[in-house]
Amino acid sequence: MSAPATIVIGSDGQAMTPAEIDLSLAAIFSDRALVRRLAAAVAGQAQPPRTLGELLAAAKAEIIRMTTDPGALRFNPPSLLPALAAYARRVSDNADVYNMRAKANPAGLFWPNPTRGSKRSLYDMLPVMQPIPLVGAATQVGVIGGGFARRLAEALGGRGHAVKTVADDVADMTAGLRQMAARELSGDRPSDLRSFLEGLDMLLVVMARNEHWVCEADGAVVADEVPEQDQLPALAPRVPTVAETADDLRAVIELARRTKAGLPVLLSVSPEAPRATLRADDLHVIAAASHAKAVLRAAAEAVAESDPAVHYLPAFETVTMCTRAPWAADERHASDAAMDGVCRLFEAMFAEPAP
Amino acid sequence: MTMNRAAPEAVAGSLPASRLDAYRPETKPNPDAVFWPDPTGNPPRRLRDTLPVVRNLGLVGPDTPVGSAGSCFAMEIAYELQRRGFNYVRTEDEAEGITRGVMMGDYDADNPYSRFPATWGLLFNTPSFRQLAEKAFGVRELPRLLVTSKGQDGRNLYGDPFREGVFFASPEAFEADYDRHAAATRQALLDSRVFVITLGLNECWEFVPDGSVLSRNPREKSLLSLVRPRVLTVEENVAEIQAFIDIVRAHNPDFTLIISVSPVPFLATTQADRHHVVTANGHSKAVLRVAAEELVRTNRDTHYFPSYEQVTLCTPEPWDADQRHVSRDAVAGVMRLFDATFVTEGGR
Repeated sequence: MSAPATIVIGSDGQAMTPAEIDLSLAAIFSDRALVRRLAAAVAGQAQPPRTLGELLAAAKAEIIRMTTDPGALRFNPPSLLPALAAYARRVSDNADVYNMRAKANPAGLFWPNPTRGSKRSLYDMLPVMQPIPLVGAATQVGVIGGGFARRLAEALGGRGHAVKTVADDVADMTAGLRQMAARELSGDRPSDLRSFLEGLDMLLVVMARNEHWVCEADGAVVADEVPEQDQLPALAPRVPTVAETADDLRAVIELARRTKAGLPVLLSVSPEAPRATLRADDLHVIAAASHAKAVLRAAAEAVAESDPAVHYLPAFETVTMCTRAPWAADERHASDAAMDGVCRLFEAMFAEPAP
Repeated sequence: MTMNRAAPEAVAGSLPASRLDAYRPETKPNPDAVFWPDPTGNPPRRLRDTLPVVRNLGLVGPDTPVGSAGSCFAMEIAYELQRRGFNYVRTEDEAEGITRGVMMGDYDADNPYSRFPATWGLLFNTPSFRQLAEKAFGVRELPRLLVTSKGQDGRNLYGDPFREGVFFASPEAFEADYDRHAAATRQALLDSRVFVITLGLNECWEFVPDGSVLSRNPREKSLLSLVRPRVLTVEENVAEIQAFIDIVRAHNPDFTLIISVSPVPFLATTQADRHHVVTANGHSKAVLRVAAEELVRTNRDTHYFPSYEQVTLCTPEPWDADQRHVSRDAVAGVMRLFDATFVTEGGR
């Protein structure tokens, strides 16, 4: 069998070849018979097209001709014109993908480079593309999670935000948070978590850990990151997947919104590493930590993409990429400068502009 | 085709062999692998002095044929392996290609080392690995497409959008090279006993007419009418690399794969209408990290190389002046980690 012919595209100012015309039409229509018919008509013109615009005009003219051709009715010609228009839009959108002028924050398109152009540095920027003004002076923000969540809540409160917190080590893990929500929010009975949620205008969930232990007897999630040695015989290790983590988050959000309908939710990943890994037979704690954060980050994205009232707060990225000295002396907890960066990020992303 | 996925229960587990030993450093191959290093602890340990290795796997000796593929970070690894005298597989030569009208961008006549075993160019996304194997072993034909651009001397150059950074002097040079290059690629994948890949990013551009994926973003205007951007999920990335493994192992059953995630961030994101490049990059690396873990968990002779962690967490000054490419210190750290994890005593 002979090799397929090579198609050359992008020759400036020259008439498009039949193969190039066929290829372009194949990017619009999947029906090969239709593509062949249109390509033959367009290529057979006295003046073959030289540009994409000319190609689309010629294809449109042929489609209009097809509406009066009984032999072409099987292609349903009126339905083809929207496809041409959609294609033109796609090409225009593609041209804008890397066009800084088309972006809400032009500086958020390309990775900063201190050696070129505007000489922007990673350490002078916050990863905000499009502010979502949800937080005003009186907006009650609830922060839920473990140690990093507690510090973040304190820092935001210190900057004048109305912040309440539920800081519980079991809420460091989505499975633990789900357990807490299921226990306290099922039914109608009063609970601390219900009271907490009822007073909120926004909930910020800070995820920190992936690995955890559950009681073998009843499946309960254990809050301790490193359980005491004498507890371990009764416990089983768990390393949740992205799908399991996203499922936990969706369940928590659903339970929270039963208490507070329409509650906007921010998801974030703590940059602080776990104290230890239970997987050290095969994986170093540093590699296990990066996997854990990756699972949480991917799950956050999956949930935020599927719920318009859920947004991702890139605290992890701000601390690990945009902070010159991200760690405290123990190289595990976030430095004060890192916490300050996360607070500024929160405000840049979600605070309403001052009147 | 031989399937190489091991049953999950047959794969070395990522859970502790004994739950009682989960946090007992003395029971681990590397006692320092259990707890996060703490310079304020006793004994003090610092991230910068830590290599995230559990045990030496002894996969690479001085004579072991090693190949690699991926982004510019993979190129750094290739250079280092050759500089240190490892048996780096080379089946195609950049200088010889020039005599046939096949030119690699940024060609340096003074550089004695190959960027990759054959001149397939940079591979940034996971579908490009699948397509590399498909082309090499005749599983699927990629579109024979050339995109015209102007060279520095004003003459036309012709680029294959599925071979990043490779240019042809004429369409005829491309056609004459096509089967020769496919054969060289096949030979490289057959000769490699150990193969290192770096996963670069999870955003890619799909060629609409047949669903093939470009090796990187379309820079020529003429290509923009034929492509659309895609963001790959964990599952999609896993499936792409799984296909690469399955195709290669059907012909080279001894193929051992080392998977890493490139620490080099995006140059730009296709999602900047909604996401900042730093945030999109964070998601991209997370997706690839999870995909790598899944592939290691479900395949025999497949290992994770934590170069991403080594650079981003264990290197005090990880970035070059452009804050995107890795520093020489970072490369040196990665190679120390490679030695500690994969190189036999005789190979170090």
